[in-house]
Amino acid sequence: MTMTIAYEARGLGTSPCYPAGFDGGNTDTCFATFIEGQEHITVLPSAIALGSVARLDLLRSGVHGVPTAHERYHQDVLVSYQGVDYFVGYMAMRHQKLATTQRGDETRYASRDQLLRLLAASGLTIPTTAYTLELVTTLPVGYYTRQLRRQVRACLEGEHVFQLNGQQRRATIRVRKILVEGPPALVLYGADSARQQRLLIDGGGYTTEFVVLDGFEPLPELCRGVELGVEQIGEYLAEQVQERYQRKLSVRERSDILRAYGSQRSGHPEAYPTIACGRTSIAAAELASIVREGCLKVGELTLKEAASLWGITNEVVAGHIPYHYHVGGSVWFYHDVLRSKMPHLRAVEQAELVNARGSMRIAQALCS
Amino acid sequence: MPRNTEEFEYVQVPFPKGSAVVQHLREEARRYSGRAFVGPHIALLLIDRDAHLYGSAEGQGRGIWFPPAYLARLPPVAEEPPLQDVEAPVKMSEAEVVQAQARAMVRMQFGDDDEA
Repeated sequence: MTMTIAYEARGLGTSPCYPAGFDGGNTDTCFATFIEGQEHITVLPSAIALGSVARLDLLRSGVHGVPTAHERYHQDVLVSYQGVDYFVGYMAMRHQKLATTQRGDETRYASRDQLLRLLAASGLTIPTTAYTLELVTTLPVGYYTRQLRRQVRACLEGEHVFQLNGQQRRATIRVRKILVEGPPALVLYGADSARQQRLLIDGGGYTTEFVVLDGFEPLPELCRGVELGVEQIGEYLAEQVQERYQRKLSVRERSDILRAYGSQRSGHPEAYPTIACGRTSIAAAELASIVREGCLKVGELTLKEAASLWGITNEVVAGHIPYHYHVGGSVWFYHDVLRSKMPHLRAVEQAELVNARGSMRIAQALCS
Repeated sequence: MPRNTEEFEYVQVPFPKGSAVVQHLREEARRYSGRAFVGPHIALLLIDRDAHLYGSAEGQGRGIWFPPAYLARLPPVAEEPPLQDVEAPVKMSEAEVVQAQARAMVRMQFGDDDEA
């Protein structure tokens, strides 16, 4: 993925400085920056688990072995920070039953785990041993309080020395701005509606943000965050597989099935995993059917929330608002369900990356 | 009921049975204790009605015609540009546009945000 925007990394002390956007979501962590005029993005599962150095020998890929975001997703990552080893991302889901993404935990955004996600993702993206980040990150609408923003700054800012897959690294982080999730997408995709009233539905892993802006001015009374997202589809999937096949899905299997389903629409199709159930395995079509059922349920709940917040005009939810955008990973799951009552709702390209990518552009503007 | 042939022309007009106009006629007829003839008030109403219905070609046309002054003015919907192509995903803007949008977003404040 390349960009034509030229950005010259400038030194800050002894380490090069990069504008950075960071979205440490409930399902995936996304980090974006410019390096030598090119946009670089890293996406990792947000799962974290306690690890061990002994497992380093099992690492199958190097720090910079895979160039694109989609392939890097499965990369093994071990972060050592303040004397403790952690598996981050897919490796945490693969090797540990106690892996957590801190889903639904408000304090996750100002936690050590969130810092580890940022260190891992930035370290995988930036080749230099020491680097400085001019960071813009986001919070869900429901959590966007002054207190939490201060806690996020306190947690992330500063100089952090850590090891990434055995290599010593030093990251100096300066939080330039904390935004509500969703609006950064308009930096990339909202030029046509820059002077209009517009709404965003940012459906992520566990939260969905409903945001209305008049140009660049948010209308807080028309904004809301709810605990709805793709992970609820995963929960439905796990319940149904348990009920129909008496088979418990692991976190990794659940993630793989959801990614396979979403990838069919994202342009990077991935195969469904084999889910063994004793003498047989569950057919991919059956898995897709169950996920589809979950999509309908979560999509309809999302529509109900949108209708209660924005109202209905001539049978169209928020029909009085001219521009509707759908961003976040939910685009790949129930965009069509939302469009049944919001026919003007438009998905954006690479919808799951928009918060990090847009935030990074804002960081760049702050640095210039 | 007396007829004023100097000022009015009297014509036969069919009305649907039980219609409101017929009810008016019957009511007026009761006042005059006679048959249901059109009195001056109803006649004026009918003249106005006929002007709406048949005034296009002096009674020769069959279609219902309304003079332009009676037409509601509707916005020319067909001439409005389509809002958006809702099928295709939104594509990323050009680099310069993205930079301009980012600069504008820098100033955005949400709720109690005082850190811009």
